[in-house]
Amino acid sequence: MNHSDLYKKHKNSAGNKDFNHALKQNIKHKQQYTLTDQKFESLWERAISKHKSLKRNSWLYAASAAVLALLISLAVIKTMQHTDKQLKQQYQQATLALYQVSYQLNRNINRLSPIEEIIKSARYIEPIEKPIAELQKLEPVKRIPFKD
Amino acid sequence: MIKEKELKQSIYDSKDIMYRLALSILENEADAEDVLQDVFVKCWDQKNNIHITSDIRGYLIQSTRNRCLDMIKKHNRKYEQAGIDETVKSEAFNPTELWDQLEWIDRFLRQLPEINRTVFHLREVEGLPFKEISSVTNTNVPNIRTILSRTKKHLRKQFEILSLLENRVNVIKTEIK
Repeated sequence: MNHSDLYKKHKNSAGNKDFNHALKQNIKHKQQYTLTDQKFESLWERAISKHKSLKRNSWLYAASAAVLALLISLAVIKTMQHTDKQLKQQYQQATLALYQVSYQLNRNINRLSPIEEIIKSARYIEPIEKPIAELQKLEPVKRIPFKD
Repeated sequence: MIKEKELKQSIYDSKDIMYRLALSILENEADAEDVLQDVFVKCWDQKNNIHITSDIRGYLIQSTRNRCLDMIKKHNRKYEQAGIDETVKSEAFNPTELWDQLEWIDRFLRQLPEINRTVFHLREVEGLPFKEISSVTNTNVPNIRTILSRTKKHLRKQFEILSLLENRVNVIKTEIK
């Protein structure tokens, strides 16, 4: 018995015939499912209206995102400005304190010993003798000069 | 670029194939309709980029399949995979069901992975050429042939088991009488 005979025998066997028949029926049954024209039209119309609303919503989302980004940027800029102002104020206060310390030191320098030797050894002493009232009027100093 | 009327006509021509494919994957009419609507929305959105060629049917089928798979993933659906053994073991087993061979073939198909069911459906129910199935499923033609052959083999094997059970039930019935 060759391959072809075996195939024919297998094809014509009772179980196989049943299977082929059932399969054909199943396929035929499935082919009967269709989408009616009415249903298609309603789905199509719904799809178009859904697309329009989606597009409108996407514009809304984009606009909301832009406004949100703008608000965040403004908030960041404001916070940074605020921090800058605080730093400036701190710097002014520190400068003022430093001047006061210098002033007190200069006033009582004679009481320090051995001041003569210090004066001799120091190449230069900055004479700061400004009254405190005047100090209040000073412009903020951006940089404190360090001198040898 | 595609005109609206042409797009609608192209979709109309393929509506039944798309619907049947969605139905075979999702096994639910409402879900299949939702999928089709989503595909229509996508097509409408892409209408300026779609070109009418002979392959638009392939594009529509592929979109439908992808949307179905997305839906399965989204809802994490687990489809019924009841074969003969499970059903026979269950309490709800009714011997009269054995006669409904059409229903059984669907059950056997459900035991298989989605790719097998899709290939089987596109080839056997829709009669699409292998090349088109290959482009829809992103699988090469020899693989498609193998998948189809294995699917049929599985169905045949399950059907044989069903026939054996059927005979067994008949014998028991005769003995009871």
